[in-house]
Amino acid sequence: MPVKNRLRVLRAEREWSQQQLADALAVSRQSVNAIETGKYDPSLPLAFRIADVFGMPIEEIFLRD
Amino acid sequence: MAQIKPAAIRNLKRTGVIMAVYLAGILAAQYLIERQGVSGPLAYSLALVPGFAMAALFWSGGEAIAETDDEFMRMLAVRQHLIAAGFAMSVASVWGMLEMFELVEHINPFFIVVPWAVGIFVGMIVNRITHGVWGQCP
Repeated sequence: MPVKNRLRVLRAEREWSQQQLADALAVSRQSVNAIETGKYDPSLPLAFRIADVFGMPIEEIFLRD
Repeated sequence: MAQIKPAAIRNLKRTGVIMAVYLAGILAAQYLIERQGVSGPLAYSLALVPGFAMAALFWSGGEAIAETDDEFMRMLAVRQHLIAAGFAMSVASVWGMLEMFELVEHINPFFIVVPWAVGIFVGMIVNRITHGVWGQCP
């Protein structure tokens, strides 16, 4: 099932760079870029970590396409 | 500048040790078996050292994948290794058929590591095209 996400928008709202978000998630900048561009859907544990970093419920970040 | 991850450093160290064992093993086997005429169980043991060293190289690649914390980079590495394995087995299958009908020279099976390494490089190119990232060089 295709999944889209609001990562880029949420990151821009907080004025974070991809590297800053990557550091917060303990992943590579390339991972953040791949998720933002829809080339990679994160695992559930990583998706929860992303939700924790943004302080939002997971379903407000990842949506059905 | 990109920071080298601890898993990559561990893999580099492992690979260095394995290659040293491989070189020492092959030199010792060549000298003792071919020049000194060592035979029997000792010859088998000597010949197995470089063979097991090559096997350890593949194990090290798998270990490096398992030690990669970043799931996206790990996925790219798995793709790379699958492509490399498929590429190497395809080359072996085609070459084997040609060899069976005596259309090409015999090549020792351990040379399969060469198309495997080429396959790793092909995997990096595929990753770059499909995911925009080269992945990591094992």
